[in-house]
Amino acid sequence: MKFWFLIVFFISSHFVCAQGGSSFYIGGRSQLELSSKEKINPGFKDGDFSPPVLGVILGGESLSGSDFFSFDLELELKDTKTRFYNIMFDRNWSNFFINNFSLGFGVDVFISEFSDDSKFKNTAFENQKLGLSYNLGYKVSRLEVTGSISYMKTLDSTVSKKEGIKTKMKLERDVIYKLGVKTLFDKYNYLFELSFIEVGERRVLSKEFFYIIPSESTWKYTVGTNYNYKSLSLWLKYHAVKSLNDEYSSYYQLPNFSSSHTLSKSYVSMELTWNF
Amino acid sequence: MEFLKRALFSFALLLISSCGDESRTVTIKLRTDTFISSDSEVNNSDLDYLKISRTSGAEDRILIKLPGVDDSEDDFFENCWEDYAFCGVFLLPLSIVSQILTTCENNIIQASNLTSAVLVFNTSDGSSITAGDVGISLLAKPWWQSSTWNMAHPFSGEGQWLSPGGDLDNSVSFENNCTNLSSGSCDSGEIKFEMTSYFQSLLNQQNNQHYGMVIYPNVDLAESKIYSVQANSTLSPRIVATYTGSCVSSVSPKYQETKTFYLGSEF
Repeated sequence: MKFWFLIVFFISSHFVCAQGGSSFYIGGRSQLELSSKEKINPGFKDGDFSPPVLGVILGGESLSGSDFFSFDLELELKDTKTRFYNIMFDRNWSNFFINNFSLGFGVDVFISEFSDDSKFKNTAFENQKLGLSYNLGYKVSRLEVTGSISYMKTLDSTVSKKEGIKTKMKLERDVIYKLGVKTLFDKYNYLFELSFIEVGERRVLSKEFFYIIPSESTWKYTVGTNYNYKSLSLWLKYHAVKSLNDEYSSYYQLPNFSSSHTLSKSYVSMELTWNF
Repeated sequence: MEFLKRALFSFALLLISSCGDESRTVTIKLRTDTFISSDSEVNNSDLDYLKISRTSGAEDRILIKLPGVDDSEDDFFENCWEDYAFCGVFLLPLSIVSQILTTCENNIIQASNLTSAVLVFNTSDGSSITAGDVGISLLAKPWWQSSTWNMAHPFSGEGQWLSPGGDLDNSVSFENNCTNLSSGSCDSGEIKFEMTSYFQSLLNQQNNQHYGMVIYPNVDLAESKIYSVQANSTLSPRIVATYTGSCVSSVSPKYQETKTFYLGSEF
C-alpha cells in the first residue's frame, strides 16, 4: 500500500508543479498472438504463451519549461489467474544543447502475479523486472527519431518447487538498444521501432541439477499506424521477435509476458486512449 | 588381589562386549525420483509411486538420482551460483559415501572397507518381479524433475534424450535385479540391485560425475507400482550399505556397521 502511495505522490508532485501544462490519458489495450514458437515448452500447450489479452492504461505527461515528465501505469490480464503490472517513468529535457534534441532517462518496474492454481505459478514466468533506460530524441519537421539504451534486470526467480526441492534461475541483465521513427501529424501517423537485445546468461540451479544457457542476441521490431479523432487516439501495431538459436531455451532467455512481450514469434496490439 | 581380579574381570567383559558386531541404521535424506512413460508426457515426479512395465510396445521406466549436496537450501543458493561445478551437484554422492565410512574416530575412506551396497525398492502390493527381469544403468546426461520419455529437461534442445527413454552410460555395468547380491536376497516385494563395486570405484575416483540412474524392464513385464520418494515410507527407495573397518586401533576388533540410506524424506 505504501508503495502505491509513494507512486501517486511522486506523480502528483510533478503534475501540480508543471508550469507548461499537463495532460493525461486513459485507455485500453488488446493483443493477439499471430504465430507462436514452433517448439512448445514441455508441460505447456500451444497458446499458453500468447500475450495478455486485455490491458488498462493510465498515463500522463507534464511539461515545465524544457523539463518533460511522463508516466505510464498498466495492468494487463492474460486470464483470470494472471495479472501483470507495468510502471514506467520517463524524464526528458528538450532542446538539450541543440534545438529539437531531447535527452532523458526512464525507469521501468514490472511485476507479475499468478494465482496459486495457475500453471505459471512457481515457474520461470513468474518474474519481476527492473529497468533503467537512457533516451535520445530528435524532431525534424513532422518526424521524430528516438533512440534508447535500456538495462533490464529480471530478478532471480523460482522455477519449481517439486518434491520439496527448489529450483531457481538467475538471469544476467539484458541490454536493449532501440531505434525508432515516428511521424507527428494530427490525424494519421506511422511508427517503426527496431530493438537489438543482448540477452544475458541464464543459470538454472537446484541441489540435484544445474544448467547454463549462454548469452545470445536477437532483435524485435514493431510497425504501427495511428489514427487520431478529437481526444481519441488509436494505435494498431505489429510486433515480431527473431527466434533465438534454441527455441526451448528461448522461453527461459526471454520469459516476458508483458513489458514487451517476447514469448510469441509475432503478435498484434490495438491501443485506444482518451486524452484529457 | 581381590581388586586385581575385579579389574581383570571387568577388562575381560569389556573385551568380550566389543568383539561382537554392531549394526546401526542411519537415515540419510535422498531427494528425487520419477518415472517416464513412452505413451505419455505427464510429469510424475510428485506421485507417491513409481511404475515399471513393458506391454504391447509401451514402456515405463524409473529415474533416480543419488544426492551430492548436503548444504541447507539457503546456504546452497547463497554459495553455489558462481562455484565451478555448482557445489558438486553432479559429483558422486559424496555425502553418502563419506557418511558410510567416517563415523569412526579414524577416517577409513578406503574402497576395500565397503563390503556391501545394495539399492532396494519395494512394490506397493508386495508382488515380486522375477530376478533378471529388470535392469539398471547410469544416465549419461542431467535430467530434471519434469523429465519425460523424450526430454531430460526443458531448458534447452540439448535436454532432449538422444535415445528416447534415457541416454545410458554403459561405462559401468550393473547386475539385473536380485542377481549376485553382496548381501541378503530379495524377499517378497523387494527389488534389489547390487551397487558395491560402483561405490568402491567412486571412492577410488571421487571426481566421477553422477547424473542418476534408469531402471527398465528387460522383458515384457506387467505393471508394477513401487514406493517412491514422495511416499515417505520405510519402504521408499533406499541404499543399504555395510562397511567393515577398525574404529579404535588399539582395543576394538574389526567393526561392522550397516547403514541404510533412504531415497526420500527423513522420518
